[in-house]
Amino acid sequence: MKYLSLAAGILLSSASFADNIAIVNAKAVTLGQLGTLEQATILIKDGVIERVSAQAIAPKGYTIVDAKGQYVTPGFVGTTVNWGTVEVDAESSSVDSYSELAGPSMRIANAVNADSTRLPTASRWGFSRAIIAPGQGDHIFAGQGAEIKTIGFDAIQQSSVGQFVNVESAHLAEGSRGVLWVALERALVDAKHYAKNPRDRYANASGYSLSLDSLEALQSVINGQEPLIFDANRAGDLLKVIEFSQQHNLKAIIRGGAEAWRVADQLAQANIGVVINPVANLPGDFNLIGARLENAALLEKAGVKMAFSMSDTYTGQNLTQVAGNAVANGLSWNAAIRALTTYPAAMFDLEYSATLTDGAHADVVIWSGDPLELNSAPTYALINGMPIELATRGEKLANRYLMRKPGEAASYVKTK
Amino acid sequence: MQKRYTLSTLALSIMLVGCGENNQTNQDNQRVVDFAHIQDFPSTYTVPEAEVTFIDNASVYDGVGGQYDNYDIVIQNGKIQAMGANLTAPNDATLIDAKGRWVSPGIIDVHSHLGNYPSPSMNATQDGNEMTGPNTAGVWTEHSVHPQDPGFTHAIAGGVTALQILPGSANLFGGRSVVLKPIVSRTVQEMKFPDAPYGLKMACGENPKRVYGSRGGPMTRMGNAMGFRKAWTEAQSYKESWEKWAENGGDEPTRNFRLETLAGVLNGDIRIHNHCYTAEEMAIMIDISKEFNFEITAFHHAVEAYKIADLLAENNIAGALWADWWGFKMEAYDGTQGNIALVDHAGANAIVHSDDDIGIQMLNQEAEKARAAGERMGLDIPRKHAMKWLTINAAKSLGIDHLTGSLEVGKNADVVIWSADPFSVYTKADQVFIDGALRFDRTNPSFNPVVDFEIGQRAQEEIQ
Repeated sequence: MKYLSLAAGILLSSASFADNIAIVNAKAVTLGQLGTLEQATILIKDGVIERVSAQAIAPKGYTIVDAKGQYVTPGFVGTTVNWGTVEVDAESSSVDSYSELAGPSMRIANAVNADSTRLPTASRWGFSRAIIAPGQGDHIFAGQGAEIKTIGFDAIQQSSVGQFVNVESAHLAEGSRGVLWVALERALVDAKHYAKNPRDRYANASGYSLSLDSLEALQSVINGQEPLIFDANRAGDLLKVIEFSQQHNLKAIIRGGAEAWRVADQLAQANIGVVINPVANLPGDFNLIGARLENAALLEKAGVKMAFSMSDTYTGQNLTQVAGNAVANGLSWNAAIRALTTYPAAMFDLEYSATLTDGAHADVVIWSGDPLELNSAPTYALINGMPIELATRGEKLANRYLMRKPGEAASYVKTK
Repeated sequence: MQKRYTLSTLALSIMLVGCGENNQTNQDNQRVVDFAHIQDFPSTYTVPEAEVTFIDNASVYDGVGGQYDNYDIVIQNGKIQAMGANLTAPNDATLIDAKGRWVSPGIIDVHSHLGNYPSPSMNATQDGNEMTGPNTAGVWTEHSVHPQDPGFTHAIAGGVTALQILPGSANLFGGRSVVLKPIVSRTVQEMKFPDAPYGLKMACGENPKRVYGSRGGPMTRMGNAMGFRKAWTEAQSYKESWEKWAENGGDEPTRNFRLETLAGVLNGDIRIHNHCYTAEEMAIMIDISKEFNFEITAFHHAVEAYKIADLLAENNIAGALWADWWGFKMEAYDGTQGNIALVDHAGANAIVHSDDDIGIQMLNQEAEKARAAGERMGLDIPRKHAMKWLTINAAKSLGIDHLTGSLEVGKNADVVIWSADPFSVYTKADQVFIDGALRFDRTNPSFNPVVDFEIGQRAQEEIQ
């Protein structure tokens, strides 16, 4: 049975730790200048991609992994997910993703649990990296997102890759947009003032609208190093984001963007990327009246970069699935793959390039078929050149009950 | 027609009486016991006049395990008239060239909250959970359904031709379900699936505990179980009081909506759809059903069904399941993508359900994820078999499998023509027929339904 060979594969994987690896016979989606190659060889050494070659080569000193002509992609990026910061949503003791006290200084990187069972359900589906977003609390500012790899105690790659703000929710303490945008403006003005008056750290702080920790956290936003990620959906709000970002010289990203298709040209012109859920097509509230399945396709047509996100990602497969749905509704397959890789890497200025190119992090995934198709799955994956175990806790549980014989107590059935 | 027990002459002899009877006495002045009352809010669903349709040269999943290439299907008078290779189209038929495309039965979702939690989601429209007490078996969710939920028009675009709307899971007994066709209309009655039996929503586990733990209970799982047993004991007495009246006459008992629904379960007219996640609670519920001599039709969500799949098979209980939802609460922590395949593998009735206004639009995709997970475990699950999870198995659990759920001659022509194999992520429903009438046509956007809410909304008008 297949689960036996799966277990054997794991043993092989750990034995080949830190080996030099040559993935041969790969249909390699490089996302670099080489494009997609049909018979590529990918050489991996010291955790990085040493060389991607269009030719079949088999140098000595490398463990050969035969991709058998199947798709090979860079590891995917989960964009604005909560992996590793929430174990069980309904159990507050296991939810580390937001705080009522949250503000700009909230740093979600501190909350990532590398042992969370959520992370393997991401890496199992080819997601080797993620942008972890803080959960939305009661205020405009939710805090700073982090770049992680989806395995290891050294998961954190960048402890801040952007500041998340919500400019739409009526549930916010600020209530009305009439108050909210003024408060946001005030925060940026204060942050700029603080930048010029660093001694305020120790005096004259009482005039600021936010805590000094918050003002410090906003420095990377006001100087354009990190994006401000705006949760917004309705077309009017998106135009407001464009105007505000230009006024303050901010690097902006929009998350939600249900009606982004209506202002796609303006977004393209302002070079603002959008994080969307491509299957959100219902008017869930009055900010979502124009939600539609063609959003992704229309954004591509206008030249807007995008990434995909959902409020619930039960496994990484949910994200490849919605990418496939975007393709079914007019997005090009290449753009869908880029929305899982190079687009978020560029939008959030990740350390990870999400390409199969010489010198890149060796996050490499071999798929059993088209990565966006529902019956295909990774059969082999590397993160930083190290083979990872694919089986999730859910798969191990399923095997345990499949292997149980009638009359046998389940607890005596051990599976890996 | 509905089933009623007539007890005036022979105890428990069954006779059929005409539709539209609401009182407890039939035309012949016999005292009858009717707990289901399926005609109190009668279906006014109508099928529009439809042409004879000839679907030419399709690949077919028939929903009962069959798969055919180059097949033709004749739809006439709302039914599947003929199916086979190289059929001759009737003279007056509308021809649909389905070469390269696939045809399946309409998808049936056994777990939806469309209409009782409609879009847009407003404070004013949270009509799915009567959280005023742990036993609200007397509420009927059709009284909450907003027929113009845009979720319905999106569901049909995903190939759905029938769906069960259930009350929420806050209560041990949530109330009655209703089976609808996703034909947006002015009234819920116009959407009601004619003659579909009622279901009763029950809920185990965390939700009733959470809602009532600080409001008089139940506070624990043992409290849940006591609540169930107490209610069934009352229902038994209630049922007996009506049966005694039917047999002996005297004062007619006072009608109690809550106990009436439970008594309808005890006499077999109303089906239990039980929200229940953990293996051990499902096993307890099975014993409670034996204690009070009723049947559980389906466990819904049942994230741990794979652990007791043999018990489900032995007791003829369906598992209405998600492909991959897990982890959102502790009782969902042991979720696995193998759940549906393992329930199926054990010989139990496996169903893919949505419980979600987006998920209902892509149930075919959910089935494929579940099927592929099973194959990765080494199980052999052809797609023609997995199609049953979306169609006939769902129809069985709703008690409408004699009418729909498969492509077989004589059945309702609930038919989807897919752009390609429906198990691919890239495939979309091109045409959807309900009772032989075309109700959705992707190639003709101006034909497709819109709801009142969307009218006059600028963003919607930009789409259309």
